[in-house]
Amino acid sequence: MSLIKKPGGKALDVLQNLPRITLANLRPEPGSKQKEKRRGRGQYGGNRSGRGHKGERQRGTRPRLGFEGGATPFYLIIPKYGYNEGHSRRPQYQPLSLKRLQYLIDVGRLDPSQPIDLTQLVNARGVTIQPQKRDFGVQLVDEGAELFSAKINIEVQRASEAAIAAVERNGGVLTNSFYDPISLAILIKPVPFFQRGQPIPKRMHPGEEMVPFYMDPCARGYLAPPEQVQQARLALAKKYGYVLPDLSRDELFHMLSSRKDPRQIFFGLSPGWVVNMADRKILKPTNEKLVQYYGS
Amino acid sequence: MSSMPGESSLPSNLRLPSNLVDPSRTKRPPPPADSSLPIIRTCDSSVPAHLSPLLTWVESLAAQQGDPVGLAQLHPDVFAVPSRLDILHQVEVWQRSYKRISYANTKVRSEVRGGGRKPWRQKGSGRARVGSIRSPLWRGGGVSHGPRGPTSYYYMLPMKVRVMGLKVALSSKLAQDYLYVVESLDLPTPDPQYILDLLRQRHWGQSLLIVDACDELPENLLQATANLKTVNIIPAIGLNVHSMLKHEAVVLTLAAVRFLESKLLWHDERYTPLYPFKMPYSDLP
Amino acid sequence: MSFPIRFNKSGNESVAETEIDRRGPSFMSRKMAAPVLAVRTGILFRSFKTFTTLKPFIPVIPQYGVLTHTANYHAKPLKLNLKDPYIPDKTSEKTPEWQLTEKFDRKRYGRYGDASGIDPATLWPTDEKLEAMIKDEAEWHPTLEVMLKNISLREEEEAAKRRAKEKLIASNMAKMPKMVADWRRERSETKKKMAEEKTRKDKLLAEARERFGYAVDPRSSKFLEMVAEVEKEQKKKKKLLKRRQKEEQAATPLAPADE
Repeated sequence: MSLIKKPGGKALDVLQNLPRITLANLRPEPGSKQKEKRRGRGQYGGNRSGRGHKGERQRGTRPRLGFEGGATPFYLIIPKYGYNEGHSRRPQYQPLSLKRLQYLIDVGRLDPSQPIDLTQLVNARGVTIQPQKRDFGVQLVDEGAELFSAKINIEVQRASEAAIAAVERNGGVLTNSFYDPISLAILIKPVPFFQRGQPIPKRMHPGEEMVPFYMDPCARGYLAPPEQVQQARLALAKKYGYVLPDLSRDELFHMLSSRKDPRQIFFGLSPGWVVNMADRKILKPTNEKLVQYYGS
Repeated sequence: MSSMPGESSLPSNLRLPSNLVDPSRTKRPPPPADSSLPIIRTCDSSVPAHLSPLLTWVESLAAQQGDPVGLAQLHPDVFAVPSRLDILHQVEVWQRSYKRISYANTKVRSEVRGGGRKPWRQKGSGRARVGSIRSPLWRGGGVSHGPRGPTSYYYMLPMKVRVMGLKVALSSKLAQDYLYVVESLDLPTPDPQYILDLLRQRHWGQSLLIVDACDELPENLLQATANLKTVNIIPAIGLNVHSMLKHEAVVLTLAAVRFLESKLLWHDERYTPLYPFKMPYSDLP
Repeated sequence: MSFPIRFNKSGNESVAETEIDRRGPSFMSRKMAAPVLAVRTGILFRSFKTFTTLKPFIPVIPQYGVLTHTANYHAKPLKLNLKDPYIPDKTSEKTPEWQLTEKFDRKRYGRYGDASGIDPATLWPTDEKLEAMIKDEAEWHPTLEVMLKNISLREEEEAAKRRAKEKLIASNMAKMPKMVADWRRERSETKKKMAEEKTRKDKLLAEARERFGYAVDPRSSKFLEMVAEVEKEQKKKKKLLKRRQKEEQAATPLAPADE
């Protein structure tokens, strides 16, 4: 803006000539305080105090909500059906559109030169995950696939085919990996976990229903063998009609090819380690049994 | 003031409200752009392009009637925010009520001792029908709608509203010429009278709030203000709207200004908290 | 403040305007002349109900903690966690139970690090706990191989069921034309039989009508007798026919054989 505004505007000029602002001068904004309704006061409000004339209304003996005078009420006459049955056992995935992802990268909240993890997304306040509400992670939605043009190594929990195609068309890498609820809670809020003083736990494998999905190379599952994934990438490129960029010639190849071990929650930290934030130290167990357990 | 006998022609029992615009206070104009004094302090954080930093006099407490020592730049987003008096009111009311627990408690008719038996029979006695001697209609009976037990009036205003309240208070103090920036708090004597005379000489007002942001305070100042009621000293973390409005004049040291600017400006650009700010964040300062 | 500034009246000596802080020494305790005047001022103060929340920042005195400057009411101390980590006394009885648990120790370590004075070796599970954890995992979290095996088994079962079902359907479909034809034939046969029955009944009714001269109720005994008679006659006729046929048969083979 070429105009230099006077900071504070004209109000501060006006204040200079007004009396001193003190505790006695403060008052609420006119219209902000609504007067409380007081029943039974005054000439017109006093007689029946707003209750009506005789009957159940005035005497306060009306039946319960939903009662229809003896006929079977609506909420009982409609038969039950299992629309929401087992809703608390259904995994939910918070959607993240490619448009929003591009916005976060453009604005500088996400760093595309590092692998993009759920931790990075939450730190950038791009998504809000609530593990206690049956959220199992984030899903990549293909809204904004035409606009997307960033080369990233992203790890999500579900992705639509068009989203995978959009990411790979720009030379990026997408992985679908699974986090069980405890690992997810640790992943999205690492600092409160480190303050608890517990060793980092192992990430558990997905349940039987989800194992086929995470072993499917077409879905870029983290348990799928890499050769099959490469074939799937070529197949997808053919299907969507773009040339698959060769990653091995890329300067960021090392970053793009970095993936987490199936039992690892954080890059660079193994299960079993204790992070001491106050002294900036990491403690690793030496007991064989512990090492074996955390390494299995 | 009128309460000083023999100093003015007004009657001695006349009490003027203290928020009258006092003509004896010389309105000190802000420093001109071509002032010869050095700029002791510039803004640490970057000022937005459409605003310019404010300039104020930097004084010294060494002499009772002293000239300003230099100039200081103040960030407009802290010291020149639009005057939201409704936010000031909200924050002031919050400060008073969030700590309040009212212990008033009355007994309901079931809690008052006695009153289980029906005093006289329902019909035939000629008197009004009565169920218990502790009904609210009776003398000595329970209270129907009285205060019930300790009630807490605790609520929290959003953090940003409270921050805005501090900014608005500082801005209004500066705009109404009640904010003074001081280089250091070294006094020549530990005499409380010195400070009071200083206040009177410089027409700073009746009461003074001194804000500093360091661990140790000069002994002289502590001794001088120890017995004074109207001159009080607080750390910068203790700055609050109520104290600022209660005292007429507010004095900030340069360290306090720096501290306040950094703390209050941080809230403009921070993310929403994932976990309480007490825990360490790597990206937020 | 509009009320008179009192310190001018007492000359040089400052008035002790505030109550003595009972918790620790304050600057007031030095001036013993204070209490006499404090009473008078104390009364005046209570009537004003000042809200000065003032905690002047005074250097920390190790013996007594932070010196609080006297205020007009006893303000509660600020709960700022700027001190050293709190280490509960494990031997004393007064420490609450929750401060003696392992969980609290771990949290203290996580927050303060080595300054909390906890041996980091206690942060990991003990041997028994570790065994319990391994057992739990073996039960509730099978390995990938086990899961894959289960999945393949399940898929095989399902595939087998599907195949059996399809086979059954195919075989039944193969049977269909014959069954359809059978059913159609049966239907036509029953129709024919019904038609025959009807015609027979009509004939009998007509005969009865002729014989008796009026419409006889088929359920009556007369009708039934008549029906029996008719049947007998028919049988006799049949027998005669058969005999004649036999005779003819006996005759005709002989005759051509003869000739």
